[in-house]
Amino acid sequence: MSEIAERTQAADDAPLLEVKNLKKYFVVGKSFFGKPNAFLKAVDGISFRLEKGKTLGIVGESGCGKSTMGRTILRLYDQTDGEVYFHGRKISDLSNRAFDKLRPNMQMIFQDPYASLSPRLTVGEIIGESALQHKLITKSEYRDYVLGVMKTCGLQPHYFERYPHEFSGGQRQRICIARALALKPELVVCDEPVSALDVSIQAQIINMLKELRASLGLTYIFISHDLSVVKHISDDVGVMYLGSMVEYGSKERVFDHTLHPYTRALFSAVPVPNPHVKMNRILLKGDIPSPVNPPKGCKFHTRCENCMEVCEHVPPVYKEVESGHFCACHLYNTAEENAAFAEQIALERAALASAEKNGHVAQA
Amino acid sequence: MAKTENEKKHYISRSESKRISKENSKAIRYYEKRKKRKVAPEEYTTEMKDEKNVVEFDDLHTYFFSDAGTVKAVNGVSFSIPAGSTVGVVGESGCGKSVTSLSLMQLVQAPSGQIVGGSIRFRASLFKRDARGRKIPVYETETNESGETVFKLDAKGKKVVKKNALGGNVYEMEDRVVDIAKMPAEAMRSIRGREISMIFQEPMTSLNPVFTIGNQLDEVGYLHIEGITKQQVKEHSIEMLRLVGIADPEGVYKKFPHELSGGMRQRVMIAIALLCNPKLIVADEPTTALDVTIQAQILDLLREIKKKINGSIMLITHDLGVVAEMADYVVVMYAGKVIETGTAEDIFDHPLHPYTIGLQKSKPTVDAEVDSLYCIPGFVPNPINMPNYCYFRDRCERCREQCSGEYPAFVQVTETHSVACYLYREKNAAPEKEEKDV
Repeated sequence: MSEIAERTQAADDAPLLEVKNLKKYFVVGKSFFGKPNAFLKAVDGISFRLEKGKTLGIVGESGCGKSTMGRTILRLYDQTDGEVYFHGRKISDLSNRAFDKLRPNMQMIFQDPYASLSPRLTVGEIIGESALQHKLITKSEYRDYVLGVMKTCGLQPHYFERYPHEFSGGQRQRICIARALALKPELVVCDEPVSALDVSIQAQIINMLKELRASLGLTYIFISHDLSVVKHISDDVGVMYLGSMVEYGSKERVFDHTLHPYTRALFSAVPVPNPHVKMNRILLKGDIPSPVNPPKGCKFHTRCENCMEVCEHVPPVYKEVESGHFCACHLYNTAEENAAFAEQIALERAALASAEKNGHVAQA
Repeated sequence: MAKTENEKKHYISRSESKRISKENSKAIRYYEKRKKRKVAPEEYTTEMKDEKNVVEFDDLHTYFFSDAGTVKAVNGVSFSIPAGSTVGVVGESGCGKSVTSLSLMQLVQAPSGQIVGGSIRFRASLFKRDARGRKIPVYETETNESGETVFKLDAKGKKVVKKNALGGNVYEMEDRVVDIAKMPAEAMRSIRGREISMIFQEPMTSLNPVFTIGNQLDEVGYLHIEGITKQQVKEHSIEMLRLVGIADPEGVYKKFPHELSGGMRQRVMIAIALLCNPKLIVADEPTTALDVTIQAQILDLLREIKKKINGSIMLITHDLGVVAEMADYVVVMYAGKVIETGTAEDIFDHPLHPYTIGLQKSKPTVDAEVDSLYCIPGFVPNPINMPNYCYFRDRCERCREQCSGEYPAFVQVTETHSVACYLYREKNAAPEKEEKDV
């Protein structure tokens, strides 16, 4: 165990995880000579801090880059740009070998419990494999250790020698959680851990995740598209749209004092199990635009009901609107910013007009 | 490690498995033969219990004859869908809600899945047939010089068939109540897609990837509207795409499914379902695969369309929020049986069955803050060896001595609300004394 303590030794006041301007671009097109010339900006400049023992909920539509963000933080994808600090130590420029030493501290629970368990390994092997690999335990301790982890996750000891296909979705998800917890991680990225499960099983898994957080002092990044689940489990909430964080703050602030129009539309779209509530719903028109070719200016302006002129030209700045509550929207610009943006638009227009004129001259 | 009790229960000996497969093949042969035989329409014509209903399920049994034994997926389901209303069917996966809807369409995966008993009564408008089984067309008439009404003749001297607004031939129709459970597969074809149509769960997998959207829409038109020309079918298909809110219907008509987003594909599925103006739309988890914002769009669309075509919707979902928003009546299913029915207000304001209460408590909501969610203990019983007492007894916190008796019968608690549970008595809204903790 001393090794773990060593690994995590760093400045105490630093947050457990800090992400600064994280970017992940996928190459979708190459020029004739193999130089990449088209990118899918899955994660485009995300920053947040996560204190130990807290849970950050990430919500957004499918394709907005939530999962990619989680995977990029854990280096399952190589990041394009940005910095990630773990306990105040920069980990984004570590070599793969150096990062491997850190891996037990950060684990992931994947979305689909039917696809993320190897059908050829027994439950015991699935859970114990990684602990053995990282030399947290010796072979002689293996069985007792795994049984202990299984017990924490509500799995019965005689499951040890069974195979994943013998279990229902809820049980499989417990195995996935046990696999992640076997390494005694501090940070767990939960990528839609309950969306493939039934309502009554969902409740079991969510309760278990909450209990484990309290008893083991875990920190979660909880990625989900189900707003009610995110509200239930999170302390902080981040809302993503097309690869960017559009709103971030404590759960109470984001849910009760919503700033961004997209967040408002997203919340109003959630159906409430009460037939008497007739909601005045903000219906978003159309689909989420393609991340390969996102709209100019604010990415959300094509579907926004509060769209202004400035939104179509200048991307908004992600800033702290109220203390601890971040938002990227032109609605919350100061007067100076508005003036600056107006100038920028005027300049752009002038440049466009002159270009057009030159074009005419050339044609003539 | 020693085999546990549970494992022993699942073990099937060789002789036993032989016996099961022998029985299965016998049963399957019987039901398959019954589906293919030719019968007079009178044999499957029945009467509705209530004239206001479009569909009445009456003690429906749909079984799957599997190698491990007979799975009673739908085991005595009875409820009805009134005309012009939306009925929501809720339950967890495996409770038989999808199989109920597939039975209604006669689309249960044969040969292992078969409708074994009960009836599904449906008010259909069918083509009138002459003695040789042909449809009887309606001919165009005109008034001649002497004031008599005579048939209009074309250049060749043949009678001209009347055309409807779409350009299809008009035939003589008759209203008839049919029992879909007894209908042969051949006769079902004139109902499926024309009178009842279905929106499937996954728009990604239920559209054919090798045909264009236009192709798949037109197919329905050709099949069900006789005498329609190619141009008219195309116009009608594009009109339907426009109706479901697709901005560029001509463009989408030429596209392939993979070129569309999930929401657009689901819109196309709805367009296909609407093509023949069905009386009843069966929507099997229409929004489960979609995002919340797209889900809101699709639900809005379904509501609008229901108003426009003046039909009924059978909405199958596991999301209580969606049901609360859409449905007028709610049917709660558990392990192949209906356990509670009522109006949406009944079910959400005064849920009676412990399972319905548990289901509602186990879902976190955006409005309410709770420390830990309620979870229903235990698991759904094994569908092959269903117990003969209440299926929910082992998971129920309020079970009593009676519950070990036979399966509880339906209790009519109020006019609209009924429940299958021993905790309640006829026409007595309050449970005997236990307080409901909400």
